[in-house]
Amino acid sequence: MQIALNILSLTSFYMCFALGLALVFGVMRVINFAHGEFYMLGAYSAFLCVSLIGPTTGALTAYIMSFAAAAIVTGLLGVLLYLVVVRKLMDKPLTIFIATLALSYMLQVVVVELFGPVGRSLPSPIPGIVRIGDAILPWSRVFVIVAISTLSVGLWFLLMRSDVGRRVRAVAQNPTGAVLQGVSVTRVGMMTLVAGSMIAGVSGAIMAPIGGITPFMGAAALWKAFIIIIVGGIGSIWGAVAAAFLFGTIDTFMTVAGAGRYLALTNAVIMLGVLSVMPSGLFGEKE
Amino acid sequence: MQLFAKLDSPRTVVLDLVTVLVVIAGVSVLAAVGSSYLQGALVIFSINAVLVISYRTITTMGGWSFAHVAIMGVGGYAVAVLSKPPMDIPVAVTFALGGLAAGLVSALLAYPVLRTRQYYFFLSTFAAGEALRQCFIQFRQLTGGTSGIAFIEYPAFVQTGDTLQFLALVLAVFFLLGLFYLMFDASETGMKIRAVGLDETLSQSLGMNPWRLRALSFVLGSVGAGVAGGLLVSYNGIVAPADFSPELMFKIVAACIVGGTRRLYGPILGLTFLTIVEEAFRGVPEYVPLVWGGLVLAATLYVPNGLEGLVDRLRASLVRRRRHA
Amino acid sequence: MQRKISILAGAAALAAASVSFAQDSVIKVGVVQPQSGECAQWGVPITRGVELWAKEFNEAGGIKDASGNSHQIEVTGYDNACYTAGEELTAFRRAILDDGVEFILQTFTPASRKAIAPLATENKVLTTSYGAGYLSADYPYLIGSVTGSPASYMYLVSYLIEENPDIEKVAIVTADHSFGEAARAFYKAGIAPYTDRVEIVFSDPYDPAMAGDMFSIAGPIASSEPDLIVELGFTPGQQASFVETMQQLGYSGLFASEGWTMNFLTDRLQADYLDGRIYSAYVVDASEQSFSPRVAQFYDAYVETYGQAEWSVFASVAYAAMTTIEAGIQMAEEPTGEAVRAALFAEETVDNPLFGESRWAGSEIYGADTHLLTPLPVYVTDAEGNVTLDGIVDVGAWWQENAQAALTELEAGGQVTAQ
Repeated sequence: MQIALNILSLTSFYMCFALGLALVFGVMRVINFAHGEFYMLGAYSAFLCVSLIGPTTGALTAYIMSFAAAAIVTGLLGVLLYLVVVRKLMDKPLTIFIATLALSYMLQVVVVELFGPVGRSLPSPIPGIVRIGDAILPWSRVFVIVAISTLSVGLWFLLMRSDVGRRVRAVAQNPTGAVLQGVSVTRVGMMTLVAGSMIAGVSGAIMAPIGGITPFMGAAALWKAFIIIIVGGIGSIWGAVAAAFLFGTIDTFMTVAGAGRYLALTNAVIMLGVLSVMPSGLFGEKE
Repeated sequence: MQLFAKLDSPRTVVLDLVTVLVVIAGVSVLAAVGSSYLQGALVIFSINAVLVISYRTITTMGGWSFAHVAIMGVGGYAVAVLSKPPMDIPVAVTFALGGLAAGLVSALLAYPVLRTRQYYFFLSTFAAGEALRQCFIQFRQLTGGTSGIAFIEYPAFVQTGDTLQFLALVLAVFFLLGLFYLMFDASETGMKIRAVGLDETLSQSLGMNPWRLRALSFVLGSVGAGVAGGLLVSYNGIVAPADFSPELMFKIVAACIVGGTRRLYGPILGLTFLTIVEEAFRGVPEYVPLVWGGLVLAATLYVPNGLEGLVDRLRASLVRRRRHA
Repeated sequence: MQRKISILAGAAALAAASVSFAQDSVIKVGVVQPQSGECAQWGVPITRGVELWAKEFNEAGGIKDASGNSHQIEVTGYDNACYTAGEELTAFRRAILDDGVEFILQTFTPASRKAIAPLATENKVLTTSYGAGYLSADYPYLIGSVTGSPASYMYLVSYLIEENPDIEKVAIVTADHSFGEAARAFYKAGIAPYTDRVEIVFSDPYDPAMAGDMFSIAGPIASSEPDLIVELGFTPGQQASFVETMQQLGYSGLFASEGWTMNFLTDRLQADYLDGRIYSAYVVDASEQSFSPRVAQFYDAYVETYGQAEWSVFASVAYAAMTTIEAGIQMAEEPTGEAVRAALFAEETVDNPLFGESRWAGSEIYGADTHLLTPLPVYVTDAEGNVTLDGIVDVGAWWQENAQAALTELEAGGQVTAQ
């Protein structure tokens, strides 16, 4: 039972930062290397919010408000990123990769200058644990699971059921066709990037109480996210969910079994293996 | 033959050869007048130059590999393991063996990795590179784990600690490999590979075997990386997994994007630019990522065809001026 | 008239001579640490510790050598890209060949020390660390200034076992990287002499990338029901998260590590849980005011300059490591690497300004007695989250008594390089 809870917790943890990346990658075929830094900035926004406003309104309220703050900050950065970088380099995905990589280095230094290299701690505004049978799960983890599930389901509804979502999917599946249908690819592109960035920021705020906040938490999280969307497949949100679940399970079992040191190697080999057999990932569309 | 019309003329062979010679000449001059530290920095630069031109060969087939630095590590570890007991093979020989080992590993990797294209290619090579790096860490009996293997020697014909002699060795290797890569590029096989890079479906319909050509380019580029790895390891005297980091890989890719990869001088220009930035700001190491990031970002935005593109525009304007004179 | 002129001339000459005395050589010290990136959280406080050490002397007119000359100390930081061996070598080349540095403080990471050993020894640059890590008779310019890491892990766990006879089960929680590996071996070595009453119930290393999710790591540890958990490898935030998770899983034993970032812990955990449970030992923790007045002053200076939020025990660790070099400079005729080394090794012991008389040791592990075994203060946290002094380990005495048992474990863990 405990293991099942661990898997659920870890999967939602992985989904957090993979979700936004999968969206942007799937729709625009753009890898935003600064995604990790948007995640990090979301976490710092949460910290600032709780520190500055918390004493007046209470930690929990400030924490909920910080989601909005994180979304605004990263949303604005997403707009900026689109206008300055992505729109100009649309046809060169590798160049966008390097440009956003350069941006991520810059953001890290800025945050180090502002907040110092050591990092901050944000205790969970929802303390305590819940017992299910003889297994335990802290409320903060429950919150993460609920929040991310809500976010994922919300995203799914948006993509599948709304007008906007239809346009986004059109661009993802066939950009030329979409243009012919009268869909503004630039506007969809910008919306997607902004949405992806906001998801990254809010995820950072959600995860902030769990691991500690450092200027480099984004970089660490990003590699895992890459592995997940590669295995899940381009263009597939459900693929990302499935891959997150797959790795959540494998990683939990291996760590519990004491084989934790072989995790990175196993993950890399799984990734290679999946790609050998299914070059577009588990649920990806053929290029 | 529309496809071949897109490719460069044979005159570019001369241009590439000049590039190689200019690099060697430039580095030699700087080393002759520079301090001991500068000479060491030039050794590292020259090894990176080998890395960068071997990487360019891989990019000509249309794929951007993220396993290049990890494969370099294969060469490095080969030198470390083979030059020590019980094998005790002379270091100079291990350089070649390191290159071969790297080529072998890349040939094995070619199977899973070359079935992918574009984004998947660079993501799957990233996976392969990570897997390799993890192997360096986990097979600790052989590789020394995270601590690596220390006290690796210079080749017998280079006096230990003599940086200038080692630099001469690296430049000689750069000359040989540079010559090889530029001739390969200009050859018919090289042209076919570039054709595949430009338009794979069309090439296939013309009777070329894209997979074999891409694999060839991938393996040949990897051999260069392996040799570079061996040289680095001998110069540093130590091999450790951290030396083959994603940061170095990004630097190589950035050098090629900032510099351009149409010709040999593109990546060299990019590498020179990045190296100068790092050295210029070494007094304030905490700001180096900021400056590096800012300049690379600016380069991708304002110099879209790379520094090569700048050079081309300069040449074109000179030609125009001469015509109007 | 003439006598006045000659008196004046004599006075002028004397003045000129004393001016030239005061303008003696500047002592150049290099600190090779991560200055940027993730590892800067350790590298930056370490560099600052050395800078403040130098500042103390510079503001008092300089450090005096045995010839009576005062020298200003110039400290420069160099980046080693998060403890990469190749970059360590590049940094050393910059420092030694370009900047003429004579003394360097570096990491104890064995790979990094090995990488620079020939260069430092060739150029007679005295290279020390806050621990041993790697030393060798072939490279006499590599020294360890203080007991430090990784040896401190061994002394810390053995101290706790001796002081707390009800400890029967110990869990060793280390990351799967070189620091973690070393810690694991030294923790085991510290437990080795007590295997008749103490059992190691957990010692699987974890993947550092997994430390974001504390549950999977903490679960098996809690199931093994230890009385004492010794750790190395969590970042400050992860440490706090780990302690919190262990508490949630019902753990009621002790925690020990080289250092804890207390404000992260006090944020998350109640004082009554923390009281008397969190132990640390790492050279010296300047935030504890009673061990040494000089170190307490250093803490005040650091907090004044950089702020309380920026405090890290690594700053005082670096500061303490430099005091051995300080003693050497004060005993040497001139402040060169060669002269200072000769002065330091003239006797079998060195009178360290903070720790007192300490003996050179290390031959059983490294093949050379170039590791200064300074006494190790052990700290525990009280109910207010402040660090208090619990005891001081006579490191030399413990090693004399238990070296045999410990060495077996150290060899098994690959930490012994003596031939």
